Amino acid sequence: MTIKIRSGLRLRHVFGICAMGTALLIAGCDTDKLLEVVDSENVTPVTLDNPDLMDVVYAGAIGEFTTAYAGSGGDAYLSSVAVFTDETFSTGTFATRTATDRRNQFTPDDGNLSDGAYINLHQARHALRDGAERVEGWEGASHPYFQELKALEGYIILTLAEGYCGPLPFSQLESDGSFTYGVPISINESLDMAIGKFDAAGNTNLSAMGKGRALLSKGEYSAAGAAVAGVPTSYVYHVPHSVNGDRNALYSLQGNGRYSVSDVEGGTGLPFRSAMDPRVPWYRDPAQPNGFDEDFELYKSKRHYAFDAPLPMATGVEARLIQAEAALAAGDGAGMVTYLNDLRADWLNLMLGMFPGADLDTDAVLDPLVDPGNAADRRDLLFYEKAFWLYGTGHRLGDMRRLVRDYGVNQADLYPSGAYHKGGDHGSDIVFPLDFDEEGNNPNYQHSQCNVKAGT
Amino acid sequence: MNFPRRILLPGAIALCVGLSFTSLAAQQTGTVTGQVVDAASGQPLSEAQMVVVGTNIGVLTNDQGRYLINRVPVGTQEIRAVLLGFAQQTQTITVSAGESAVLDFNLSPTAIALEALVVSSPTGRQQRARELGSKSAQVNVEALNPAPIPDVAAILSGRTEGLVVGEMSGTTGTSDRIRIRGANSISLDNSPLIYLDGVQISSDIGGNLNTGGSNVSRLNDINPNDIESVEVVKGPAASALYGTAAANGVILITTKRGRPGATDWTFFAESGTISDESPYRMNYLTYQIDDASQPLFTSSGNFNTDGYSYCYNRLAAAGSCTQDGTLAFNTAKDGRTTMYQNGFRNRYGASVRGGTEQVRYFVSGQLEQEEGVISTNKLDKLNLRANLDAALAEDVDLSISFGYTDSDVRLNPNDNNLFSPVLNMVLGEGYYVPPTEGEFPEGVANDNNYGFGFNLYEIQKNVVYDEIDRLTLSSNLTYRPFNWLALAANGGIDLTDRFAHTTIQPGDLPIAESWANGFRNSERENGFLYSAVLSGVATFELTPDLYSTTTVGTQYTKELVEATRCYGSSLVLGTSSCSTTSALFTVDEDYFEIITVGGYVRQELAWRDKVFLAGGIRGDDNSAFGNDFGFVYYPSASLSWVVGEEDWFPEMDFLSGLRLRSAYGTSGLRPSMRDAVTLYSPITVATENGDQPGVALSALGNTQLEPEKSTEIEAGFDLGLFQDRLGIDFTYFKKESRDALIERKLPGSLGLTTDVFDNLGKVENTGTEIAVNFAAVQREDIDIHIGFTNTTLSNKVLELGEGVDDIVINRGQQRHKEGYSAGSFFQRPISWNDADENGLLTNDEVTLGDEAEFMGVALPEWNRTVFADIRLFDWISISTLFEGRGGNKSIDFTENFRCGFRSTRGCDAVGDPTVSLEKQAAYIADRFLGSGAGYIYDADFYKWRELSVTFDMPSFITSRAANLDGLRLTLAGRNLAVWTDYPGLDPEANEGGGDDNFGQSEFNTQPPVRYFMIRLDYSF
Repeated sequence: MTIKIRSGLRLRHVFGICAMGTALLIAGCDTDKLLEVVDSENVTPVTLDNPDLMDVVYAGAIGEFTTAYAGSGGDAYLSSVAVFTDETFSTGTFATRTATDRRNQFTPDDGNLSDGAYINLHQARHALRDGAERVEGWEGASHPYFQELKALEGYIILTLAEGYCGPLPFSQLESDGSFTYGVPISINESLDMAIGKFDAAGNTNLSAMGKGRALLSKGEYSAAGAAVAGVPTSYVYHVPHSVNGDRNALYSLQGNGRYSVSDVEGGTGLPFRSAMDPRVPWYRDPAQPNGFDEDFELYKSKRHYAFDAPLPMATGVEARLIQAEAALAAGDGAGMVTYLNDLRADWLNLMLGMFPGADLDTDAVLDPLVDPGNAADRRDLLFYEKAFWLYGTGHRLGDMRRLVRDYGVNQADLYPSGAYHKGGDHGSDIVFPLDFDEEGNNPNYQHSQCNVKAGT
Repeated sequence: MNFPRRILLPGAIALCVGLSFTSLAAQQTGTVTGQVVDAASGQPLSEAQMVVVGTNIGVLTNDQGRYLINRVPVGTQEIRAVLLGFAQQTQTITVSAGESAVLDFNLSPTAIALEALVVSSPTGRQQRARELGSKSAQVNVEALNPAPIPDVAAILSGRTEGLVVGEMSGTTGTSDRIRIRGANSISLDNSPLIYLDGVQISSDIGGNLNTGGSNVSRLNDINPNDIESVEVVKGPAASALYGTAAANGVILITTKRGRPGATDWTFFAESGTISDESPYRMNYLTYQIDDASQPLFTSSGNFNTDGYSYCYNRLAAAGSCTQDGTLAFNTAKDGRTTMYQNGFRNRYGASVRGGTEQVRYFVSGQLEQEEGVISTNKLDKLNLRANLDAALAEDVDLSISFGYTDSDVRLNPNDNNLFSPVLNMVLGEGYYVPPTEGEFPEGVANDNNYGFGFNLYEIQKNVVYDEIDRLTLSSNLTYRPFNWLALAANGGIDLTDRFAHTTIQPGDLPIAESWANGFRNSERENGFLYSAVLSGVATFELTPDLYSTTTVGTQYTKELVEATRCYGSSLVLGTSSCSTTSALFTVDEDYFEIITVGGYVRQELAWRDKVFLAGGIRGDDNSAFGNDFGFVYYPSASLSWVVGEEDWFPEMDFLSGLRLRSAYGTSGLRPSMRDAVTLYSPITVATENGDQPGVALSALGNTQLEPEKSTEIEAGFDLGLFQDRLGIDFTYFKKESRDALIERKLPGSLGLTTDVFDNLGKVENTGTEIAVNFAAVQREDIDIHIGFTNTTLSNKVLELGEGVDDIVINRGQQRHKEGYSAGSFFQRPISWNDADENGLLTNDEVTLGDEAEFMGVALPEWNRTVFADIRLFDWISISTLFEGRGGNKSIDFTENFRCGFRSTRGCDAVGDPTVSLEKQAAYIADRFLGSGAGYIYDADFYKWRELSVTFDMPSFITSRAANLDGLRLTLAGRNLAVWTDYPGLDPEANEGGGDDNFGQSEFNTQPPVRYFMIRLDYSF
């Protein structure tokens, strides 16, 4: 077909007609096409619902757990516990770190160091639950991924119950997209919830360790000992770290001069440096002798020796310590000391299993202990040993809280107390408060329900 | 969803009807020519707009004030001359076919700006201000003295009522915060939309490479010497036709264009100094003598703790030591330790403009070099511009604008950064530590003088480079097939190629392992902004007194950013590439794309050139809206009545003009690309088998998400007094943003993201604007013009949404709270009682209130300026500008951190025994009790922004010299004085820079600096 342009129609008229034609074309077209944007950076929920992505789903949930519990280069539950207790002290300048170290935490609306960990722990809980459901749907509940994810979900609940002020809310995203805001439940009920997850995770060393730790917090010592009895002493569940993935947070933070290994902190803390115990190796770096604040000396833990140093979260060592506590509760002092001495006798191998790259004093020897003969001294001995074995692994706060709550120890005789090294005195907080945004956005929760000085 | 035909079709049909007439015989026409001159001086007036009333036919006068209008329909026609600063004049003439009619105009000056030409829609179509019910502000940049203006933001600063420029940092190359009529959005950016020569350009304040605070500004890529005028479309009442991005107002920048006539060459050279004049405070160390036999300082010059101990105020207050002596030193002010230098700025430029009636051109180039008050802070910039206007035919015009910027900024660390020079100086010691021989090169201060132990020699090793190549291209094709119809096609491209990088060489700054081994951090970012507008304007004479103008248009905008980032440690010495690193390597790709399509129709009616009524509607769809949300519509209406020109209006000697006006409109703000969708982001997960890919929930989408909609109503008047020598404009506005996008917090126990966007909130901004222009003296040898503006603003968060608690920002100091201005300060109040009356407070003597209380607002509640332009004879001009702002608070985090940094010495509250109890209480409350209330201060200020004195070579010389049209020498200064009770470094300084939405705090921020410039302009 030949189109003839009438000679009278000038070129400029063609411009105009084209312009109008384009406008009308747009006016008549489907704008959804025009607005299509492809996001190649992210994954949608629909894309994720694919069994071929099971490894990705699993890894994502593991990663969230690592970030929340052990940290990914920055503060997490682990570092918050360490500075709150007698494990480390603040050599930084952030007011929130100082307030936590002082056990005189700010009111929730002013924000606290532990807020980020609280949010991250719940995010990990959601990711682990979601991941476990997907794996179960694809492969069934016997798949190792399901068992690990479900056990870690239990660990998250356990961690919240050990570290944070009760009662605890557990909210949930429903399948229809609506929110169910959690009605706060007691610490004891939270521990029961954690145990339910461990039971659902199947019969694994990890779930046994979690259950034992939860039962210990419930004061069910015998049951706790029984739960972990089958876990071999050499067993280690590492929270892995890597240079490019989740970096060892304590290594990173002490490298930035924020935290330093404590020694008899506040007069009541344990002698983590002066004891020269090979289980808590430390050093002072001549290239970085002082902390970030330039005011206080910096002592670095050799347990957290590199960005990729793994963190032993659940171990056979802890299993024996739980059994030792069960023996203590049963009045079997000799049995308790036997557990402790068996561990001490093999300290180097056990430490190398827990901290495979650590620079340890291989010539050191841990002498056998003697049964002190009375319940109070046995208790102190056990918790001293446990603090040194599990230094910087996120256990210390749960144990100190139990000492106050279940053993009746005065918090001022246990937690760092008295004059604070950056000025003022230590406070009397013994647990973390919940994040500011829990109140107001969860209609079922008020911060007045929490007493950080009570620890119940 | 299809395009909103109900909007476009009526207008499109109207235009098509016009096209259908193309086959009709051409109308008979003639031409009109003449000259426009100043009635007072007789001088020709260029750039006056000459229009044939009731048509789309118009031209501008040339340098000689002459004009020629072709294709004027035969018969009796009204010709109108319009020029800013002069009263419009309309005359009638009879045009005969094929003949040329002559019509001259004598325009009289006026102080009321009814005749300013205002761009009223995205098409770039101009209207007279009198036709609009909304109040736009204009800056005639060409008339300003450019010497005291370092960048585009400075053009806007203090010159337009309703617009506030926060000069937030004195670091060369960094951005300012621009707000028009307050802040509409709690969660989205409140910066205005930017148009350059009729097309939208990016104003993103780019940069993810962390300097610690302030970032570079893309707005300042534009060469201020290229700008002819800036128009500020203030709010939804005026910006409704700009649609889903215009709720914060629109800034329309027009660059210079060619003029018919002789070629005009202009050269200039400018040079000057930059200095820091901020009131830095002393550092104190108070000690107790333990062993007087010991020297106070060690052999290395440090405080001798063997014989002396720190006896800071709190320790002394507890009776634990005796304050035997106090040392005081000002690290930032002492010549031996200050890191400041006198920086410099040089600019060199040339431009040429000229052409014929058919083809006109403007070409310019400028080189700019600036070195800030810290020697590593530099700017090297090249700007090129070429603007071309061509009359392709009698009824077809083409305008093309081309701009190129090559800008290299080097930023020193600032604000919240260990290597910030301000930080290291304000945290210095209370005494001077002399250099240790051989430790640093000659002349370098001992690094023990500085807070984190970094002197300038070390800080210079840490530089962030931000380099861009940017191309902006816009074209406008206008076709007028009939006198009553104009069709236009605008297209624009804004391309930005950005490369930001920093390299720390191994061993240079061994503060941590990754630093000791050296690292490389770089990002390459390509930004694209495409826009296209098709529009038509039809003007009809309905009756001799009533004219109708119909505008219809469509707009397409696509914003696209692609970025690649890398980081690696363990760098090979001497190299600067991620590929030469071997540890901690990360790479990241970013992608961002948003598309908007919209259409609009506007109908205007003009009755007797005194009453103007307009209504319009725009519809938009956007790729960032939720899937369940479709088109959004933005209506607008406007009424303007030049009541003073009514015959019945009583004649009063003092009252020479009065216009009443009112406007209503709605415009929007879109969410960002991923706010409406649920997404999982990829993460690298460490496992026992090595790193593996995983995903983590990164965004909780909201499929109902829609844009924020801001509705504004404004009303006011323009008053001319004393033969229009005194002009007063008054505007009241009330703006309500509904469906405000709230980044609502989710309880942590949900385990999802910490927040999700929801259309929940309501924010209200109300205020007044007054502009007074007074031609105080108008004589042949002396001209004095004085101006005053005053803006008031009241901002209030009406609703955050049901179930949404206060949103806390800025380290817990500020909140978005219902019933209060957005970002208001809330802290627990402090009280103290020096029970033992020893003048020193212990922790126990300071108490806090139980609840956080309102401490003040963050957004300024008033802004006022006074300016004066004085011309003496024809060769001396003096201009000056003062600006004041206040009603708000600011947090002095600089002092807060300084006091809390060391418990033993430092700020006066820690180490000066004579310090006030109030300061001691502020320090104790912040560090030990958890309230920063003591560092929240009134931020009211007045600043002497600009002064310039210009000497022009008298015309009796230039008129006789060959190759000389003008020679001008200017002496100028900027930021010459500050009057404030704010005790920090500067009440305007803000650590977040221009992209900080509500934060109002300085934190070791480089305060604004002082400029002194000399400039020489030569033209022939």
